Amino acid sequence: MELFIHQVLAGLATGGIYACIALAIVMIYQAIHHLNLAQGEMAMFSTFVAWQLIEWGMPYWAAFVLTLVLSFAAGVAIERIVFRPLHNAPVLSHIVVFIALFSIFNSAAGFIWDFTIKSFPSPFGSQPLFEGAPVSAHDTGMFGVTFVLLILLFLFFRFTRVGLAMRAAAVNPESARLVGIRVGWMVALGWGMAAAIGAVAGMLIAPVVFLEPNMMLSILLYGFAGAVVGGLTSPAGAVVGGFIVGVVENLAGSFIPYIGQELKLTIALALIVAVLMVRPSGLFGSRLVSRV
Amino acid sequence: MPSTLAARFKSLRQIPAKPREVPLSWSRIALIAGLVLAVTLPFVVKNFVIFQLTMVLIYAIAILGLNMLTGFNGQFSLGHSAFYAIGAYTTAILMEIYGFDFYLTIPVAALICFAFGFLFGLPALRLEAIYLALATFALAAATPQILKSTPLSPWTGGVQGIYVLKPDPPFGLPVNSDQWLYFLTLGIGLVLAVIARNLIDSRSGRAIIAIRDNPIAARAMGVDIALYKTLVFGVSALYAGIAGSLSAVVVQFVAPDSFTFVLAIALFVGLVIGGVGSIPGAVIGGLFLVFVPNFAEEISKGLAGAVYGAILILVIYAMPSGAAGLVRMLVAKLAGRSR
Amino acid sequence: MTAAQTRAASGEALLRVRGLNAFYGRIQALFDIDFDIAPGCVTTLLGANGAGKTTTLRALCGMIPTKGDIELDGVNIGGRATEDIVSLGVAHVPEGRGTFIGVTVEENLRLGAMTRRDRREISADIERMYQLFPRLAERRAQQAQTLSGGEQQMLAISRALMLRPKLMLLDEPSFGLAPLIIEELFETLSRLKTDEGISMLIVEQNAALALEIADHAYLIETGRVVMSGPADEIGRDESIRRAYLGY
Ligand SMILES: Nc1ncnc2c1ncn2[C@@H]1O[C@H](COP(=O)(O)OP(=O)(O)OP(=O)(O)O)[C@@H](O)[C@H]1O
Ligand SMILES: [Mg+2]
Repeated sequence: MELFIHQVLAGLATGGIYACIALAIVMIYQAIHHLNLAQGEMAMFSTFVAWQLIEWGMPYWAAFVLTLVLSFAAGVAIERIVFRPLHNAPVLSHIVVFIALFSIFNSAAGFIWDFTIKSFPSPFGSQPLFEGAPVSAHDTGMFGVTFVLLILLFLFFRFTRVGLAMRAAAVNPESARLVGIRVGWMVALGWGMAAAIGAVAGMLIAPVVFLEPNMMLSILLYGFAGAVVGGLTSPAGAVVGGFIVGVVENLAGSFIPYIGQELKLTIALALIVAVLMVRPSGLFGSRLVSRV
Repeated sequence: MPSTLAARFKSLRQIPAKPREVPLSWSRIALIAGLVLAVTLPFVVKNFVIFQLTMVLIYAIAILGLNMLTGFNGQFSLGHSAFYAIGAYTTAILMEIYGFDFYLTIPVAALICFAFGFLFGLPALRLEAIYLALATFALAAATPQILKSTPLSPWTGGVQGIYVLKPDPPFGLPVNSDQWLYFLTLGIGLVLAVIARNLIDSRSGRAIIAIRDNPIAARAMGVDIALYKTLVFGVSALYAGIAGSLSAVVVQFVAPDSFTFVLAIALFVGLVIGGVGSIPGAVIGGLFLVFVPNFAEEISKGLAGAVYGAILILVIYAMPSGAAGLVRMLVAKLAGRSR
Repeated sequence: MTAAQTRAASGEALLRVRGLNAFYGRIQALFDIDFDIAPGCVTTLLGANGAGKTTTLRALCGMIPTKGDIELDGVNIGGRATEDIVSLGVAHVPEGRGTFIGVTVEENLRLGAMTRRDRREISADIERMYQLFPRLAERRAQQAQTLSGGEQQMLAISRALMLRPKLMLLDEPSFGLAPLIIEELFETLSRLKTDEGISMLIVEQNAALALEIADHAYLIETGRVVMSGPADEIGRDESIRRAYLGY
């Protein structure tokens, strides 16, 4: 039993990572109704930018904020420059462009910063939260930041003009234009916010997994899984989904004999597909998004 | 309820089965010219290029399978590398452990992949487009892990993989083994293409396309949607499996890391570049997959991935509906002018 | 005298459309349409199914590619983005109501005022809408998609009014409403016209009703204007009624 609780807590700690990236995934999904395959690589690239700024002697929080601003701008720019001309192209072509972006960011990061792993500082410290605790101060800090982010997003969408306009543009673009909303810019804004949230996720994840161009590969997949389990329409659901995935992965690794450790990715993913079979819109997703 | 999601995925559905077909005479001339080129090329180029061309054909076969699923039936897959891997490993294991003749392993690989595809198609039935994309992507990501896992390693050779011997040309044919494998792949590819064409043009093909375009109407017409969808999944996996099986002997080696999600994504890219819903487009997709990464590497070693990505974006700008879409558009333009 | 009435007196049109052509891809749907909307007047656009009424409204809002002149208050708006046209004061109640799902009734109203900055006035206008349509007041915190069809129609009209439009385009406002509600709605519309001087272009299946409130009427058939005139004359003309309006 103690091992079980221990593993659940450790799972929640990794789950925090997935929750973070799942939040970014849901953000972009709200804006463009796609899973952005390049999301993880964008987050990784942002983290490298932060690392570089810190290397150049900038204090952590200054680098953090500047990275957010730069990532936001880059997200907006990607939408305006790369996707705007393609807005009439078939959806499968968009996915190919995600793949292209994936390749570009991965390769560029390797070229600029090479493929050796780098350590990234944690603002919370990596010591255990308390004597003998299975979670570190950083895990707790990550949890806190994710939670704050979630609340901020909720407030933004619920109570601000722009938040309302973004929701309207997402659910009914044509009607949104008819009330004077610049739908194209709302989508770009969604990209910017997703890129910024991704940057937060990257900077929180990097102290745990180390910084290198391929750090996000499996994390992104778990993040997708978390977002989907929670329901792509619900930011809070995505966060909960991320934690569930983390716990499931950890428990499978330690309690399924023989193959558990080797195949924990496989087991976690299989479980997720199983969840989807039972609840096709995820645990907290709404069915408003019509069937495709 | 006009939701944007539905609207976006409509574009997937709206890929017409035979949109403004290239005039028959022209497409026939192009086909014959292509065949003549395909048959003469291996006698004029180096062995390494023959190997590359064989890989083009192998990818084309896998893309063709993916096309049946995505292009004609409207089901997503970002995980066809899994079936490709199963095909490759079936051939490698049967040849190297059980001493099977290579040619016998192809139908076995095909059948096993069909079965796996059919089985995977069952849960896929319940998943909507975006979730199916994720589930198949997960399958692709899990494949190398499964292949490496301890319980399977007596057969798969774990991380090491399996070396496979190339078969010699039979009947004392005056060609070397590279040329032989090329012609074998070409022959199999042509047969599979003809089968695909006939299947799509048949009554079943109309049902398959109807499911893509309008599932509700298809059901009303009495089409057994679940059966067709799972069967198409099986057939699609069968094509990928045959491609994988051929690749095992052409590459002479199978290992888990040859079948990562990168391969799955590459096949998907080939599908879109060639043209969703176009059978000849598969060859263009294959050409792209083999030659463009090499080209990118030549431009810049360090930034090959970035160059590849940039080329990909430019190609999508130039032809958002793939090569087949571009050809259709040009034909429509020419036809419009001549009128 | 309001600005609109001044212009009306001088015989200047609020909206002046000349040689309007519109396209769906390569298919042409409107052919050289000409019409005028006088300020403070209700104009109605009548025609059979598929005649091009909805298309005309969509063309005016820049929702589809067009050729030709569309002048609003002397400014050419042809070819401009929908958002820009809306911010010039053209409100469109679209076919199918354009309800925002997953958004409350009150938020739908706020969305209607997206281009306005006067916060206090906006809140006052929302209250006005609730007086106009008390059923919406009862449901203000409800998700808009849970409203009945008729309630959604009321919401769509109020959302358009929230713009404080110069010109309102209404696509079959009576669609899906009970006869009693229709009557109420048209009373409201004619009150908006007389009290607030809002100009309207109304597309209606219910020609008799539309002609009753309209000052001027246009008849279109397969994308072309085939007849126009003062609404009462058109309504009185037996032969037109039989040939085009079917009552
Ligand atoms: N999205 C579209 N693509 C192609 N053609 C269209 C499209 N929308 C409408 N049309 C065509 O344009 C013509 C005019 O349609 P429109 O919707 O304007 O008719 P309408 O007068 O509003 O009819 P109704 O009274 O039925 O609403 C019709 O022939 C229709 O088929
Ligand atoms: Mg209409």
